[in-house]
Amino acid sequence: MTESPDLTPSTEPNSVSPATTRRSFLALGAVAGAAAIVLPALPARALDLGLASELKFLENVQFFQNQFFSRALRSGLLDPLTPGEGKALLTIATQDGEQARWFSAARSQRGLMPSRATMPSSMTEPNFQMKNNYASREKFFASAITIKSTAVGAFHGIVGQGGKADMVQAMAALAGVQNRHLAILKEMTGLSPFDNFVTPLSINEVGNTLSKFGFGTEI
Amino acid sequence: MNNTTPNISRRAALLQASAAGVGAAALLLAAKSGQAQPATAGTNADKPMMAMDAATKMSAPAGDLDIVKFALTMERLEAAFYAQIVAAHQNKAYLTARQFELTQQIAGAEAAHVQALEAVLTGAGETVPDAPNFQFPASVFLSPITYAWLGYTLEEIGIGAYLGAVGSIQSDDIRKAAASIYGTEAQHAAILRSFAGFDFAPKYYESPLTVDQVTQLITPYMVA
Repeated sequence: MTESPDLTPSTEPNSVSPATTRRSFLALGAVAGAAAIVLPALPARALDLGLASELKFLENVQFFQNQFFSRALRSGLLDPLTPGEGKALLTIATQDGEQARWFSAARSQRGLMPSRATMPSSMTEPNFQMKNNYASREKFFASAITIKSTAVGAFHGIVGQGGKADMVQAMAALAGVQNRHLAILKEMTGLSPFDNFVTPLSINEVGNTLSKFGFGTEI
Repeated sequence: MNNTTPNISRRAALLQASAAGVGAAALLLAAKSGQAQPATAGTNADKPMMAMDAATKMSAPAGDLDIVKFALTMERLEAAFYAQIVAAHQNKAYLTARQFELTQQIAGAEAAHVQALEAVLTGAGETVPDAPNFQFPASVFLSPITYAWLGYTLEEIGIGAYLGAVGSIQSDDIRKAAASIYGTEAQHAAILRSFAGFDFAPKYYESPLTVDQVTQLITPYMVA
């Protein structure tokens, strides 16, 4: 039987770090370890194809999701979470953060931004002003499903644009995990976890929807 | 518990077809879906497949159609698996109510994927390949855990096949369709993994499979 993750609030203002506590680190060690070793490569030509702004946008979407789920875990308003629910939300928060940092690392490698390797997260990650997403458990999960559905559409929108094969493949590789997150969130609320088909969204559609929850307020 | 007529030579041909085929099948289905609809959210659970007509009439590169054929094989495998699970449960209930409910939903989705892929081939003037026969371990019809394990395994193969092929798809419509179907396969995998007691998302990205890898993984379930 696996150990339940430690959901003790961290003093970190933004993200849930896999290394926040030893227990949470152990709970997520496999995921974090795999991510560190096998980082999907961002195709060299991705930025030549005019996708730099889209990649930055997706990076911010992932930081936004990371903070949305991280703050929910720290808010205390979701108690009592079952161990399974807590672990699921921690996994989602962590993997959203990993995807955001994948974008950051890829952009750093292309020389579009300073390396973040030696900088604290408070200096390199946007800090979003969330809009009343945690008033109740029901409110949180309704917001979570809408936000995650929108993120899924964002990734599928980029995949649909085509372009270099490895670029399409990398975006699809991340999109698949977003679909997993969406399914488990719906299952946790008793909804059908499956969509017959997934609709791609434009950046404008994604930005408009997420702005209702605090996206676009980053400082 | 097998289905349809065996066609070994066709099966062999399909298995040797383009690699990304599994995902492609899903792709084609998605191409037919409501991608052209304005959406306020990224998913489309209940909307009709509005783009289906367009997808079935599109002219796709020959390589894309090979991928569609291979994808059809994978979707047929999955559809046969879930149909047999549903039938087994109806004969001797062994799943929880929620497991059965969701299995029925997955079975319906996979059957729809098969129909959509066949329609794409027909619309492109291609002959729809005969359906091969499939076989599954008896234990999946007795044990919920074993069922969930094989179910998510098949879904993970489909996900890997899609990722392996997505970059080589030339048609934008087929690629979008494939991505849409691929997304639903990832959703299925997450829930089936949770049924089996595994993490629903073991890592933050999906991994591609080669054609040879996919062929090797699904061959045990093909009736020779």
